[in-house]
Amino acid sequence: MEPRVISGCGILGVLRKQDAAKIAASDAVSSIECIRYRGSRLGAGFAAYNLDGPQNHLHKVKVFVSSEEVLRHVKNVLKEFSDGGLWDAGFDAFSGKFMSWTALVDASEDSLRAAVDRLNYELMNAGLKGRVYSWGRYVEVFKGVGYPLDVSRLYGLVERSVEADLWIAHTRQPTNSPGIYPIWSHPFSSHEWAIAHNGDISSFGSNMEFTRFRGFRSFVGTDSELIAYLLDYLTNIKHMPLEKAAKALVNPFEEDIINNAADISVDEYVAGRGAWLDGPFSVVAGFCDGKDVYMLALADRSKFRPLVVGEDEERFYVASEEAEIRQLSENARVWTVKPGGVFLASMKKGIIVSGREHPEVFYRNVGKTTAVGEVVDAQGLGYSQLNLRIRSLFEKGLKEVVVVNVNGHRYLGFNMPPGTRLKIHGTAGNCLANFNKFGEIIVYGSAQDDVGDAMYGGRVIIHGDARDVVGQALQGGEIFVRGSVGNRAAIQMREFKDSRPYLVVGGRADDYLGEYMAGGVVMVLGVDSIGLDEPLVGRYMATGMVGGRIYVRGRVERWRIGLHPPKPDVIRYLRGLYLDGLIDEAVLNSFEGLRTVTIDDVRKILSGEPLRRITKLFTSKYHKELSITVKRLDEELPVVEQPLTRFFHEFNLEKTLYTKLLKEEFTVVSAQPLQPAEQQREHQPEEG
Amino acid sequence: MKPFGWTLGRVKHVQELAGTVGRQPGEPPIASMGSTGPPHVEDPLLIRDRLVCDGAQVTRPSIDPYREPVETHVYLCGGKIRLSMPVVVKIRASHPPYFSEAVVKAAYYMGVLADVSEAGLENFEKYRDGLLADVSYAGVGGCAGYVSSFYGLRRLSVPVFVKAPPAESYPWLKAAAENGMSGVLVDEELVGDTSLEVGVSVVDRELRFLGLRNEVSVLAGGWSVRGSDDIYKLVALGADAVVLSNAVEYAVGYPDAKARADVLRERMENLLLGLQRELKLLAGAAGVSSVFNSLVGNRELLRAVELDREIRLKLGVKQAGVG
Repeated sequence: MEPRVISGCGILGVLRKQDAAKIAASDAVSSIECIRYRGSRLGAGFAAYNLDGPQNHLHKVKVFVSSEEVLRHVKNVLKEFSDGGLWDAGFDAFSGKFMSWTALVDASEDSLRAAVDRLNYELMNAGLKGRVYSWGRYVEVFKGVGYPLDVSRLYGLVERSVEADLWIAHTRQPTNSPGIYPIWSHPFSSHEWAIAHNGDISSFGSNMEFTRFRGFRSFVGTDSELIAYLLDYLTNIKHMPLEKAAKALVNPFEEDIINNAADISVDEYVAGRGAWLDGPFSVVAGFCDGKDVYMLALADRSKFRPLVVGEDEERFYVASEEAEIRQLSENARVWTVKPGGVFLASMKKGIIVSGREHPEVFYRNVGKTTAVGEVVDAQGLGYSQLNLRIRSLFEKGLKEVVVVNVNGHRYLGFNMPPGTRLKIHGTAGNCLANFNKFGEIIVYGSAQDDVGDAMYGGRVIIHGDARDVVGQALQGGEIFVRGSVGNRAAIQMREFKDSRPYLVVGGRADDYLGEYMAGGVVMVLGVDSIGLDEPLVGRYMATGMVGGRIYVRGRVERWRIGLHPPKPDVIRYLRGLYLDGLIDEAVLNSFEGLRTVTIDDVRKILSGEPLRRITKLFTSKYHKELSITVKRLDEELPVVEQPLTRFFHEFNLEKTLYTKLLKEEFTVVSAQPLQPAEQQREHQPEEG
Repeated sequence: MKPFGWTLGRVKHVQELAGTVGRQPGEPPIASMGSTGPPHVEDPLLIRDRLVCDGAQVTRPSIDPYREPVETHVYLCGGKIRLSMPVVVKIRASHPPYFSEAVVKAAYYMGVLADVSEAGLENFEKYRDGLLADVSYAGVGGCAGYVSSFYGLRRLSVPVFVKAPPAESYPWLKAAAENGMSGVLVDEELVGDTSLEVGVSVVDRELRFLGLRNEVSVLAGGWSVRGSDDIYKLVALGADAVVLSNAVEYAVGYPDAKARADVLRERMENLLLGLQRELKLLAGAAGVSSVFNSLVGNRELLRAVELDREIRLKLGVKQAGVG
């Protein structure tokens, strides 16, 4: 038995464009199998959507049954609720004590919905005797216990050359159920929705309380099934437009709702309270309304799970790892979904919501690169095998190792000896250059999550993008990324007396850039977007920062830096001051017009007693003042010149661009120097 | 003599948050991992002392509220009222003006509701959009009203709450909602036939069953609410906001005839700020970033320890270590 590797689940979605050929099951299997290490033997599955199936006038109802008796009962109930008839399509798989049985049912959506709810309720109460797990005209789910390849064989997906307009796939690391029966496998489906999910939502109990009195009585007990129910409820029962439902489900921040930046009103937010998702999730979902096929992806607002999307000439992709997309397409443009981001594409309409701002500018597709001379071919090697091969070459005294066809191989660039270089062609997998001290690692392509974690020397040069959590606890050496980086870059970065790390990003960065940062230098240049009026960072930049410096080109709006109290709380306090005659109406109004009220705003506008009183909403004993200035980069040459020169050299960027960049305005954020010890006395309460 | 459930440690803690004693007003102490409270370290005194909070773990990380957002706001009555945190403070008829004015002001500034239904609206009219007053004042406009029996409900321009004691069932909810009720206030200081915990959970469940939960708000509390842990648990059992009464008196050092009104107000503001921070820490520890959406009625985030099965079923809380 192979050792079980504890990892996160993996998800996949592949949607064809209208003029492209249907997608073969073998593509879905090969893509999800390339991240086999994310899953386990405990569950996998696929969902296929076909807009033009020959039997689309009938519902295809798929049921797990544990005995002849259960099957008889299922048939009887379905007959009772079907209007036109019921055709027994036989069994298509056997998995973990359950047979998968299929029927074609001529029934209205409403009566079938009632039949499914009754069946699942009765079968669950009778002690997990079976489950209706798929019941749409256009969707068909195939799921079971095993790795994705096992499940595909179970149903003969490749052998029968099953094709689809859209495939959803999942490989599972169970956390909320034992996973020993196929009813706990993904995708979970409800009418024409099928979803695969990686995460563990903290709103589970609230979502359950919301759903259970709204037409859904039976639950297998996982959060993932609830997401399918919620999507079904919001779009099919409440008739909420798909895009709006998706944007609400990611539970937008209140500040976005009241600033009309979330496409949902306070009233709608309140009316659906309990339906919105909290905690970690990345979700891929399919939907068909009989006219078009949709693929949806959702990322939670803290971005606690990986999610990338892509597009090439023929298809759209959603994946946990870029490697899944590269397995099928060398040329796809791939980009990171932002925290709280929604991606929505349809077969006929193309991309409806892109998952982030300006992916075409900020994300870099390096394309296929070639290497000359002696190379290690990673194709067909597992990541452990590849790492052993590379290590043995370095142990033989080689100073440079070139690896080609890298696709998601993890843990590359560990333990490299002094003076060595590793060149990677392809997509470097998670945890590249972790704990690196001596190695120079060059990636001709993009790198996935967690590059350079706790790296304390050496160099990493990435010609494409890096995904989430780059340079966590980086404490020496330098990381250069030509494209963009994702969420939580440079968190807990620190420096020592003789070791100052650098992270230089050519594109942009998402939320929490430099969270808890304690040292080192981060630069975000946006070299491809000079002249484009688009901020180069997300929000909550430099929260908890205690040292180091961050340079971001352009004037970063103050609300993006640090954490601020909710605007309605601040306005309420100001309103109190106004009612008590401590500030006048004009002052109150000037605050109302702000997007977010920051500590700089109150310090600028207020003074004396009102300022003293309201400051407590902004500070605490854990509050650390940040210094935020705007400077031309050439004013900071002593700090930035050397890394910047090396960055330009590595990526062969033009000298004129360098000169231009030095004249650009940068926002410089640093933690204020510690105050002298005698000023650090504990705060004395007013009334002694 | 403090009522049952209150200990000297509890009183000291709210006084420290308020800055009545100690040197760090509004700052929750962060000590270490592990519990210093009931049911295992201190004796469990109330039902909620036998409820423990399900924390985040590796697949569902905790959130550090000092660096990342944890939203404590709640909306009441379909969005008509916004609170900065799930808290209502109660003014009693016996409270002298210097005290009630300080508390009402602080509640207003800090964005929570003050229940002045026993004390009257006379001195507080300008804060009326932060007040819960007797329905006879509804003509003044702005404030939310309350009636003590739904038979007195009329359609009014302001949200109207019905005050009721904790009960095993609330058969009148549907009729009251049809008559314009926008919230229920489960007040344990009215004598009921069950505990506050059961009353809250039953109201929440019955409203959900009727499909009214997001239109009709639930406020609940009284003398026994001792701090943010109680607020957190009562919210998870189904309250949108929790009423503090004795906790306010103890925290600001009432009666303290020597304290100036603005000192009392400052203490009260500190108390609320401290409670809000504690709620963020508790929610963050459970991986919850939005109290309003993800905590209200989320019994899944609670587990019961050595709690009578019958009560546990009424609360809808699972037994610890079982499921």
